[in-house]
Amino acid sequence: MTRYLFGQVFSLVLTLWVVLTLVFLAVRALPGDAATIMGGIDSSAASIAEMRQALGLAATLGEQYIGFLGDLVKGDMGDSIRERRPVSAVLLDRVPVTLTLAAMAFVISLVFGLGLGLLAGLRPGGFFDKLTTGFATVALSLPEFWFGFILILVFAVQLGWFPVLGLPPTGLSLRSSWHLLLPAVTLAIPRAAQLARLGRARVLEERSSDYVRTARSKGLSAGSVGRHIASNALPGVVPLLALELGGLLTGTIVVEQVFGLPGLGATLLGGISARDYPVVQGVTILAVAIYVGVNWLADVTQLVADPRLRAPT
Amino acid sequence: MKLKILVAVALSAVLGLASAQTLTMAMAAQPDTLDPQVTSATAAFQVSKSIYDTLVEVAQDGTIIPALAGTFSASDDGLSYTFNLVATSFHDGTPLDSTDVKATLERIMAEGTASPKRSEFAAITGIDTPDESTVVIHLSQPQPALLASLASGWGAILPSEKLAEGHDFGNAPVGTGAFVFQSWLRDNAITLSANPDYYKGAPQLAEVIIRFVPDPAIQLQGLLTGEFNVADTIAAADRELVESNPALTMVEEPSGLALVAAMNTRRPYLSDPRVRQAINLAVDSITVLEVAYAGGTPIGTFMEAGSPWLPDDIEPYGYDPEQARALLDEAGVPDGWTIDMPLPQPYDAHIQAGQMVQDYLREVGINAEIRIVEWGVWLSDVYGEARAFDITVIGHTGKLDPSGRLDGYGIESENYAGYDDPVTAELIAQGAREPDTAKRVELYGEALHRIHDAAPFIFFGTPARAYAKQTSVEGFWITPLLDSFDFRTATIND
Amino acid sequence: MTRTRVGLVLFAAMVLATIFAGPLGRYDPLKPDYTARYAPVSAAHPLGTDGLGRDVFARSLAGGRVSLVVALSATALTMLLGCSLGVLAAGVGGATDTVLARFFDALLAFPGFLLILLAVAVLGGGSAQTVMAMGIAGSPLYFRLARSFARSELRSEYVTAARALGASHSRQMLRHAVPNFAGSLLVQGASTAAAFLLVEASLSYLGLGVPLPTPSWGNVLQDARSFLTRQPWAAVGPGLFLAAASLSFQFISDGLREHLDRRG
Repeated sequence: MTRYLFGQVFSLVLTLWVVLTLVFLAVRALPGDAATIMGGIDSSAASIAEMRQALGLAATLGEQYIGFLGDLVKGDMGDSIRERRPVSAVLLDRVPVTLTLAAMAFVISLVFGLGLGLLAGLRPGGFFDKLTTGFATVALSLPEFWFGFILILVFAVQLGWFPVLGLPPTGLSLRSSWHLLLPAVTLAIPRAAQLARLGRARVLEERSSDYVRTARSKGLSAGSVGRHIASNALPGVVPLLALELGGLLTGTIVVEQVFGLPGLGATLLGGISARDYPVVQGVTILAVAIYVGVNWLADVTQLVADPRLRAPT
Repeated sequence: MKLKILVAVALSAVLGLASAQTLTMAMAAQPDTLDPQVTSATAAFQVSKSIYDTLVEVAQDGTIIPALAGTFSASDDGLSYTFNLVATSFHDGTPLDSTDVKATLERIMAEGTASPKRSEFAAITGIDTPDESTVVIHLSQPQPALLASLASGWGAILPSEKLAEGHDFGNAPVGTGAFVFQSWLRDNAITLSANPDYYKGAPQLAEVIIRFVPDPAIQLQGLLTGEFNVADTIAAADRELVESNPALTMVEEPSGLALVAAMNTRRPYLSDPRVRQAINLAVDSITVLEVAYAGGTPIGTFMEAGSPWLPDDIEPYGYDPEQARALLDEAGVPDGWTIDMPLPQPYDAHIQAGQMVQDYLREVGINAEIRIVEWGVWLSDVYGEARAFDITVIGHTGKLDPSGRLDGYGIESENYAGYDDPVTAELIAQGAREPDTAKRVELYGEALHRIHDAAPFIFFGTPARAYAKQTSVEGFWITPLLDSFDFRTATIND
Repeated sequence: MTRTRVGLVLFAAMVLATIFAGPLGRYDPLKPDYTARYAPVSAAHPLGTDGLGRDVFARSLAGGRVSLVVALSATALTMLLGCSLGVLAAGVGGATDTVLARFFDALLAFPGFLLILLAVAVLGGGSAQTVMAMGIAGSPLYFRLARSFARSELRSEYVTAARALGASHSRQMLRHAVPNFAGSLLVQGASTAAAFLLVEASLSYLGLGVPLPTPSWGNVLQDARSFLTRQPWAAVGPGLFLAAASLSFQFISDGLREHLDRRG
C-alpha cells in the first residue's frame, strides 16, 4: 500500500515538474515580455530597457528557471508582474469564482445530462430518447460562446431576468452567486450533452446483457430492473466525469470571457497577453493539481464503487 | 441597482435631499496599475484621473488651466516655473504642500522607478520649495512642453509621507482627486466614492463604478438593460441602434488620433520615398476612414486634423492609382512584390483597414500578406529591435504638446518606421526647446512638410471619438487629447 | 445505419459544396464592395454581406473548405502522432515507454484548451500553426489508446503464434494488430474532428486561429458578432454550416460505433 501511494506521489511530482517546465519555456518563447507590453507604443527603447531591468526580466533563462524552482520548493509562486502582489493572492481572489462556476456547471450537467441519458436508454425510441438526441445534436454543434451569447440575449436583454455581466461589482458572495447561473448553464451544455450520450450508450449496453434478461424472465418489475441497470451503468461513467471536471476548467476560459467573469480563465488569458510569467505558471500549477487530484479521486471512487476492481489480480 | 436608484430618488423626493447617484461605466481595457508613474497605458490614466490631481489640467476646450496650482508662471528665459498651490488635502487627511510636489517629481525622475515618462522630466535640474504652498522648478534648457507633461495623467501629485513609506499606489491609490478609491476587484470592477472635500467642489455623483467589459457586444447589451450608464466601446455597426434609441445617446467628438499605416523605411524599395508616396496614392484613405473607422477627416502628415500645429497648406495624398503605378515603375518595383503586413489582433478597425489596404495594393501589383498577431507579438515585431514588418496599421493618440508626438522622428533608431532625416530631426529638437510659440509653429510646420514629402506612413486621418451613454447622463466628458474620463460634473437626471 | 447514412450524405454534400465554392458562391469571398456593406438577405446575397461588403454565403463556402481542411488535417496529425508514438512505446517498451508515457501524461494533465492556446501563441497564428497546435493537444488521447491496444494485442494468442512461427516483431504488429484497431480509431477520429471544428471557432473568438481575410467558419462567425444587430444572417449562415458539419461527424462516429459493436 505504501509503495502504491509513494508511486502515486512520485508520479504526481514528476508530471507537475514536466508540465511546469513546458509552461516555463512556452510562455518565455512568446515574443515580447512584460516590459515590451508596459512600454506600449509611446516609450523609447531606453525606457523599456530600464523597465526590463527593474522587473528582473534581464536575467538569463537558466537563472530565471533556477530561481523559479527554488522559490516554488519554498512554496513561493512569485509576484505577479502586472498586479505587483503575490501570485498566491491573485489566484486566491479568482479561484472562488471559477470553482463556484465549475461546481454549478458540474451539478447541472450531471443531473440534467446524465439523468436525461439514463432515461433515454431505459426507453429507447421513446420521448426522452428523442429529446436527448436532439439536445445532444444541437449542444455539440455550436461553439460555447454562442450559447452564452444567445442566453444573454434571451434571458438578460429580452427577459431581464439576469444581469448581463456574470458578477456584481462587489464580487462573489452567497447572495450574488445566482448571477452565475447563465454562465454555468453555458458551461454545462456541452458536458451535459456528452454525459447524456454516454449514459444512454452505457444503459443500452447493460440492457442487452445477461443479467437483465434473467431478471426480466424472473418477473422483476421494470422499475427495479431499471435501478439495477442504472447502478451498473454508473461506474463506467465515473472516469469520464473526472475528465469532464478537468475539462470544465478549460471551458471556463471562453465562458469567463463572454460573461466578463474574473475567474482563473480570465486570469490566464490576461497573464498570457501581459506576459505575466509568474501568473501563467501559477494558474498552470493550480490547474494541473486540480486535474491530477480529481483523477485520483475518480480512481478511488471507482475502487469503492466497483468491488470487482478491488479483487487482487 | 435600478432598485437602489429608485429608492434613492423616492427618498430624495420625499426628503428633498440630493439623490445618492451611482454611475456605472463600462470600459473595454483595464488599467495595469493605478500608480501613475509606472505605466503609459491610456486605461490606467482614464481611471486614475478621478483619484489624483495634477498641478495644471486640460480644460474642455483643450487649453491648460490651473488645477492644484492655483496660479503659475514661467520665467522670461523659460528656465524656471513657479507654481502656487491651493489649499486641499489628500484622501488620507494629510494636507497638500510643496514637499508633496517635490517628492512626486523626484520619484518620477528616479531611475529606480523606471517610469516610461521619465524623459519628459529630464530637463529638471532642481526643485525649490521656498514655502509650503510654492514650488519652483528649474530647467537646464527651455522646455515648453513641461506644462503639458504636468497636465498629463503621469503628472499626478502623490502624498510625500506615503511615498517615503514605499506605499503601494498601484493597488491602493491615494490622491487629492474628486473620488476616493474604494476597491479594485481585478477583471471585474473599480469602485470609487465621492470626495466631499474636493477643492473644486464635491462631485454630484456619490459613487462611480467602472466595470471591465472587453466585449463591445456585451457593453451594448448592458447599456440597453440599464446596467451601464456609459459605455466606451461601441462597434461601428451598432451606432445606428444606439442613435435610434431615445433612451441612449451616441456622443461623437473630435479626437486627437492620427491613423496611419506605418512603413518600415529600412526595407528594400520601402526606403525609396517614391515607393512610399506611390503607396499613399494607391490607397483611397477617405474610403478607408469611412468604412473601417466610421468616418473622419483626412490628413496629409503626422499630426491630427484640427491641430493648431498642423500647417494649412499640407494636402492629403488623395487617391490616384495611375500615378501610383507610374511612381512604382519609376522606382523599379517588380510586379507582384510581396510585403509583410502584421496587424494587431485586438483592434478590429485596424484589421479592417489593413484588409482594405491589401485590396488597394493588389490593384497596383503589390501583394501584401496579412498576419494577424497578438498584441504582445505585434509590439515585439513592430516596436521591438527586430523591426520585423514591412507595413502595419495603427493609431497614434493625441498629445498635449507636439513634441510628445514627434520626438524621435528623423532619427532612424528612435522611431519604428526607421524614418531618417537629420534636417527634420533638428527641426523637431529645436521645436522642443523654443520658448516662443510662433517660432515653434514654424519649426514644427516645416518638419511636418518634410514628413509629408518623405511619406514614412500612409496618412489616413483623424476619426471622431465615439462613445455611448444613457441620455439621462449629463456632465460627463472625456479630456481632449488625453482621453481620460472626467466624472467631476457628471449627474444622472432620471 | 440510417444515422451513418445521414452523416455521410451531409458530409459529402458539405465537401462538394466547398469544392465548388467558386461557382456556387458566385462572388469572390475576398473582394470587398464598399457600396454594399451590411446588405440584407436578397436573391443576389442569400446571406447578405459583411462589414466590407463581401458576400457572406461565398465566405461561408470558402470558409468551409478552410475549416474542414484544418479540422481534418489536425485530426489526421493528432492520430498519426499519438498512435505512432503509442505503438512505438508499447512495442519497444523499457525506458522509452516510461519516458513517453510520462510525457503524454503531463500533456494530458494540461487543460486542453490551455495547451492549444499556448501552442498557438508560441507558434504564431495561421492555419498551419493552428493545425499543429491542435494536433499536439489531441495526441495524448491517441497515444493512450494506441499504447493500451498495442500492449494487449502483443500478448494475444495469435501474435504469440505468429512469433512462434518466426515472423518479425514489427511484422507481427502491423499485420495482425492494426486492422482490429482501425475501427475504433475511426470512431474516435470522427469525434475528434467534430471537436476540432468547434475549437477552431473558439480560437477565432479569442483572436487566434485562421487569420483574416482568409475566411473560416470560426472567423466569419466571430466577425459577424460585431454587427449582429445590423445583419444577423451573417452569423446564422456560418453557424448553420458549422452545426451541420459537426453533426455529420457525430453521426458518422455514432454509426461506426454501432456497426463495430454489432460486429463485436
